[in-house]
Amino acid sequence: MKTGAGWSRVARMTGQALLTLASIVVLVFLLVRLIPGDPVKVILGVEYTPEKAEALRAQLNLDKSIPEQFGTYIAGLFRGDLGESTSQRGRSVVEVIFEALPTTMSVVVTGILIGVIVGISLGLYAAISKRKGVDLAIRTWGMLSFSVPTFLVALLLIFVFALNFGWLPAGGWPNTWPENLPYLILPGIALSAHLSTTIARTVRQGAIDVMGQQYMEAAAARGLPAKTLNLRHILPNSILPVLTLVGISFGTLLTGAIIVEAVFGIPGLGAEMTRAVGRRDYPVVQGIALVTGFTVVLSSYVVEIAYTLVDPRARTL
Amino acid sequence: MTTSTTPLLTVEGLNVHLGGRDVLHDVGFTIAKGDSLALVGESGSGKTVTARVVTGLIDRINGKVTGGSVKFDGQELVNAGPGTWTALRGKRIALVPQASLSSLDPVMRIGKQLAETIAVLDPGADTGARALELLDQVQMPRPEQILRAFPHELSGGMRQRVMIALALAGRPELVVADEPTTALDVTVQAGILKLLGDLRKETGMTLLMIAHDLAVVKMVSENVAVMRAGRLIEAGPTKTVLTVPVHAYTQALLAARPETSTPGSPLSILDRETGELRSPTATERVATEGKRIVQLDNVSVTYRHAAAPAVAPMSLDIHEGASIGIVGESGSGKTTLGRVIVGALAPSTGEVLVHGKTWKQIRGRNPLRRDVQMIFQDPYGSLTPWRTPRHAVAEVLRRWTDISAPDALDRAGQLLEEVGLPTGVFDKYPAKLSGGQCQRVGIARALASEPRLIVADEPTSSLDISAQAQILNLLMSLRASHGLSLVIVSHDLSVIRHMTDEALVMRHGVIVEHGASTKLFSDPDHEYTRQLVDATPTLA
Amino acid sequence: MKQRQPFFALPWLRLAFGVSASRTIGVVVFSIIVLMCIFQPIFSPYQANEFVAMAFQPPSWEHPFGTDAVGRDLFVRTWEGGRINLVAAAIVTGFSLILGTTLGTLAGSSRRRWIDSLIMRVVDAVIAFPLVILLLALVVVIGTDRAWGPAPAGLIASMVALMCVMWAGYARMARGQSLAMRESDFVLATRVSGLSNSRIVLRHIAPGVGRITLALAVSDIVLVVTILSSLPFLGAGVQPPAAEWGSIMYEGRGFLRQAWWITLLPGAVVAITGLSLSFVADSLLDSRSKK
Repeated sequence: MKTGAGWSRVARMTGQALLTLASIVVLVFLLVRLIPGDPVKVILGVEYTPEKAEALRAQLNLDKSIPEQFGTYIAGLFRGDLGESTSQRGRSVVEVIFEALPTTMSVVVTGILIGVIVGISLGLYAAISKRKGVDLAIRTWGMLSFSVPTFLVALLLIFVFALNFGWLPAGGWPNTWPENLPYLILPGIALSAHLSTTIARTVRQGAIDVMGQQYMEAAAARGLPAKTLNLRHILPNSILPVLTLVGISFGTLLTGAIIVEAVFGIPGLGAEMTRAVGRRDYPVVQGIALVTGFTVVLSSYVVEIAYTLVDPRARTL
Repeated sequence: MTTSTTPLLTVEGLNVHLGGRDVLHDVGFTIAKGDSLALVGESGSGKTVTARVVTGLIDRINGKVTGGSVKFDGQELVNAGPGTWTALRGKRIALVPQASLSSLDPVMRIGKQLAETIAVLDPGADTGARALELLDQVQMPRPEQILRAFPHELSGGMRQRVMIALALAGRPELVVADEPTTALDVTVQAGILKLLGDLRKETGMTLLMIAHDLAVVKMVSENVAVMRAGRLIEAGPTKTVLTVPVHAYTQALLAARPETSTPGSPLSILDRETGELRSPTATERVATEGKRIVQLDNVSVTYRHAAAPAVAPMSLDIHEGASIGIVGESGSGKTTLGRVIVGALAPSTGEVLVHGKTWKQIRGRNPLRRDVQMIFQDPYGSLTPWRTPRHAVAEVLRRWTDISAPDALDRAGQLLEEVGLPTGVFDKYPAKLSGGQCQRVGIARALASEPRLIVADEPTSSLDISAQAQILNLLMSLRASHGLSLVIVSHDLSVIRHMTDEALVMRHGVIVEHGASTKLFSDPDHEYTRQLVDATPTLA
Repeated sequence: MKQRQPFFALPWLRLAFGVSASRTIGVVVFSIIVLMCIFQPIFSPYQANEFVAMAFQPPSWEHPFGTDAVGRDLFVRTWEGGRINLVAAAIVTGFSLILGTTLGTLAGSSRRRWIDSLIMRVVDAVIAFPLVILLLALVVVIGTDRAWGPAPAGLIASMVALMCVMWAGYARMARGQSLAMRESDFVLATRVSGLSNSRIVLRHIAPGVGRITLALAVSDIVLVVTILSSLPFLGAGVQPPAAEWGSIMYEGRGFLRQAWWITLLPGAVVAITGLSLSFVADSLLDSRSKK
């Protein structure tokens, strides 16, 4: 088995991931520096006095030249220091972010779990079932699910399950585990709506492709029963792409999570971001952009490595 | 048909409906136990559909048997229930599918796939031991290693042996082999065909073989039935049908094999209107001077990260009016060499000189670019899907001459007529054309530059047999009328022998022999050439 | 001589009203919605931003979508808001399609590797960002305070932000396609025939790339509409009291229990718009693969 070639692929992907990370760092830096007008004025608002402005400017390193600012920025990154929040005095950006991160991650993970399970089941069922209308019904559900914005799904879920039936809470967030669980269900479902659609579509197409493959026909001709065909041959071959899909969708999932948090009132990264945007808290905005960008690159990278391990064909490329 | 032994498979009046049309009309044949029958035909003849009916796979592709009967050992197969098929599939009737990478589950090891089948067909058997036994039966080297391998790690020939092993797992009485050696190299094919012959002697199994190549049939089956457009048009013992065919279509299939005609003469083709075989007259040869057009000087090609060169250092001169063949199996480097000659690929060492200039020096509008053109193997793949034939050819004309747009379209039409393309398709998109028609467009496009040399890379391999003869005739006549030089790259020895004056035999990038075509194939010097000649199925 | 083809054979017509039933349904329903957005506010007795009746009225003949929290007619607000969503989505998608396809084709067909690497690194970085984060960050940069001509406050910022981000997906797809095509036999054939590079890219590579990205664009319009309507929930995008699908639904979120129609009826319109467009996009993809 030529695993040597597999390692060169890993090396290549690592290089690319690092390059992308570097570009994100630069992009985020440039982003914030693009602000028209004087940021200090905006932050201080009514409290503006020349002395305070000087002090704030110095604090934010805005009095130094751009290359110097970039240098400080990079140096700070390596130290793990992302600066201080300007709206929440006394708290470092790192503090703000990493307090909110686990909350958002739990929403994302719930969404992924539900999305993957529902998506794979529906996708396979749509492909395999011989009953008329099943395929069309699932595809239409898919299109519908895609057309309804996530926040609307969230609102609908609240309307039906929380307000009408009262089964699940309509929002909020107790900070302790495991009380969190019921509060994760509706947000998780809302978040999974788009993901499960994409997964179902891919799995369905994958299963259809597999079923048309020659080895399926050859296996059927050998007398292998349908159940064996489905479980041992169609399933493994069609869920391979799901792995890559989840990795690619991580960015979209974070986006969706933020919206879901906004609707359900969950204090995650989304809430922090919205607050920071409203208060022009540039360090926090910058910090969140950086951390989320990194997470997304990292997740695609991890998924690609995992794919190399799982698919025997990928190992020789 | 032999009547001394009991018939195992009897097909009578079979009619099948598929994809909105009737694809089989009143097909009937019988195979006696232990005997063999080959179903021969081009694409669309219905031979594969017949195989699917016999193996019970017709439902999978939404086909329907609308009439007739198929009896296996007295049991009716048409519209038989799942229970019947469970008892038959693999255990009494087995399928060996076409050779391809996707005939095995790509993510499951060979051993596991064998074990799975053995467990279903031979419950209670020791799967490990039986798997080894089967691999042994198909003459597979190093069976223990094979068990642990994945399908993409095996060569095409080895995969086919695995498919045969899988088919034998249930000890079937009837084996249906659907084009088992198409897409395999000639030497590998010879091995598989020999294996099938050995297995028949060993196990007494009955063989129904689907093929498109009459020469292959001659090697493997005692009886043959020719199919065309869903009908069986001729059947009988192979020896008889191949030597004294009755139907014009069968005669045409035989005539399409170049080895049945004198080298260099036009091949007989079936006339569409009269249904008779017609021998076109040879075109008058235009005189040429014999100047040197292309020179390859110590050229070699090594791909990045490759251990060995795809083409080992070689030199070659191509003169006006020459006709050169490049023969080899897959991986021999013949396609690479073809592309280097045309300037589509840069050599790693050495130079390719066209009238004294290298391809690197020939840029932009240098008219030397016109002199060497190419025809590609995949007729559909070589045409831009969103350009009509007329526009594709006119484009080239406008590039090289000062002709106006409307005049270019007219002239393009003339060229397309010259290569025999029906007027009705001049302005249709390639998807609507047949393979043979697309190939003609490719030829017209190549001619539009008024080249001195055309490199044809497997010009007929992707075409049906009837189209093959026509394209070969076209190439010969164009060469004569335009005074062209031809370089033909092919794996098919009979095509090379027929079309070329001199030939190079390549193996793993190395030219092992280079000489006059007639001598090469009747009295080869090199061991490998001899192997190739021996392994090639021939009707001669 | 080239014949004049009958009108019905025109490719764009076939594309719009093609063979499949789902595509026809999709086109018809979408056209109805577009027509409603254009004409209903013109013929409606009510203005979108005026207080015309009692607040919280449920749907009735006079007010098919009921009235909202301050007594505005929701029917006319929905269709007037729809104008903004659809026009903005069309502009954003169109711009992204053109810019992305151009850059991507350039990256994929260029012989110089540094062009390819440069463009793709930027593309990767842009794609890596979660859309909303980048959007919000850009919105901060551009500002949501001022209205620009007919566009309400916040819309321009959102559109620019979206345009900065969405082109990247097209670029990646276009690059992949043109790279694959560059290696194909038919492109090789054009090079051997001696055609100029610009001709090869324009007439042979680009049309193929364009088809794929166009199919993506149609389904992307749905996405843009969705995103635009989601923005008010994050404090960005079109701000109330301007009428836009998102802002209307945002305003109604607190009244789900007593006045569900404020949020859910415009929501239904959004869903149907998206569904009809998806039908069209789906059938475009299907006919490709039926070869």
